[in-house]
Amino acid sequence: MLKKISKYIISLILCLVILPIQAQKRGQHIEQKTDSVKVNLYNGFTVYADLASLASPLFSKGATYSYESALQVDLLHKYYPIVELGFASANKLSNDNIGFNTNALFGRLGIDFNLQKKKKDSKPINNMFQAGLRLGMSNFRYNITNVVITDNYWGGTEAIPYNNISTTKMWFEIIAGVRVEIAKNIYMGWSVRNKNLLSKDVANSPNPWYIPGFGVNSGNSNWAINYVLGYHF
Amino acid sequence: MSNKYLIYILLLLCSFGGNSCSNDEQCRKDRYIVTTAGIYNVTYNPTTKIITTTLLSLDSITVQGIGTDSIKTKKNQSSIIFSLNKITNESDFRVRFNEIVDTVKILHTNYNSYLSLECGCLVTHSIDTVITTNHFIDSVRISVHDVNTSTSAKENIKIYN
Repeated sequence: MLKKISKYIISLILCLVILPIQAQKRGQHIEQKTDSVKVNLYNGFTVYADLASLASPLFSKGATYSYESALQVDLLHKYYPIVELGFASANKLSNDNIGFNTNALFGRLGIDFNLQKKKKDSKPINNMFQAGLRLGMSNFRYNITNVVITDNYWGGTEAIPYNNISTTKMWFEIIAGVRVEIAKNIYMGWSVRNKNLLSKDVANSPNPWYIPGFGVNSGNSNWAINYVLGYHF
Repeated sequence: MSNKYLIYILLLLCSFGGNSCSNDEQCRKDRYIVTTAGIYNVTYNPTTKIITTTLLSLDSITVQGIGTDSIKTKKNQSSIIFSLNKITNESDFRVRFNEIVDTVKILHTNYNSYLSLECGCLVTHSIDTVITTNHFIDSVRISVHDVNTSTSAKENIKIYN
């Protein structure tokens, strides 16, 4: 599995780093010919709030909710380093009445790349197709309640408490999406995320059902959609 | 926008998509745990000085956990299935081999393994000691101490007649 992940990461780095550099070289070639508009290194920052996470309780039947926001810096209208912070909570009851609850902060660091091709000698445009990477982390405590062992043959039950378990989980995300300036300095956009855990669960241990910022921990990758509204400063 | 970039990203997302799967709140993990004992007959040939061990098939075997109402009788069997106690570390059985009754006391250590929210907890065992009366049984040997999902097809105890 680790080999698989490293293979994906290498392919991703190749796609997201080498290809934009090639594109930049092509862009430089055009600039020489056309005297294009000069682009500043720093072009302000944008604060985003995620609207899609507000709707997440509808999909989880109220078992989970999550709020998140982000701060993104615009470098050269091409590279967008980003910090995302959020708060998530879960309170789930299984069919056998086993309960799971947690609530914690989570954070992500990463970068988006603007894939929008700038036309010759045109001014920088504020709408973009983006691709990016995130490294997410959450340190949280959780409880698994009402775990009962029942012996139908010999009779008798035993309750096993799994309280206040502390853990730290890390994951990476691959992102693709769109950002559009809908009014002056106001941005709206969506992105699709594929999340993959880097911290693996320990077999036969009370692993968390839900990881703040990552979602339901089913042992596989997770998909998520963000729909954001932002203001550019 | 370059189509090339879009294709790369879509390919990457699709490749990860193959690993994801929905959580349908059903337990699909193997939770079958069973302790099996095989019954053997040992014969010694003084001429050749060779000891031969053969699996013994009995007309009827009845197993009852002492203190339980459960009595299980099987015909033409050469093995016994024991249900070890999940709560305490001792399981006592009364076993009738055809018409001869023996008591089998199994001392074991229980391990609680949490599987998931959907599956709950699984109890596995490690057999420490087996003590028996010796009416039908001559001796016993523990061949596989661990009783878990990966040993369900294995014989944990050998009972010699």
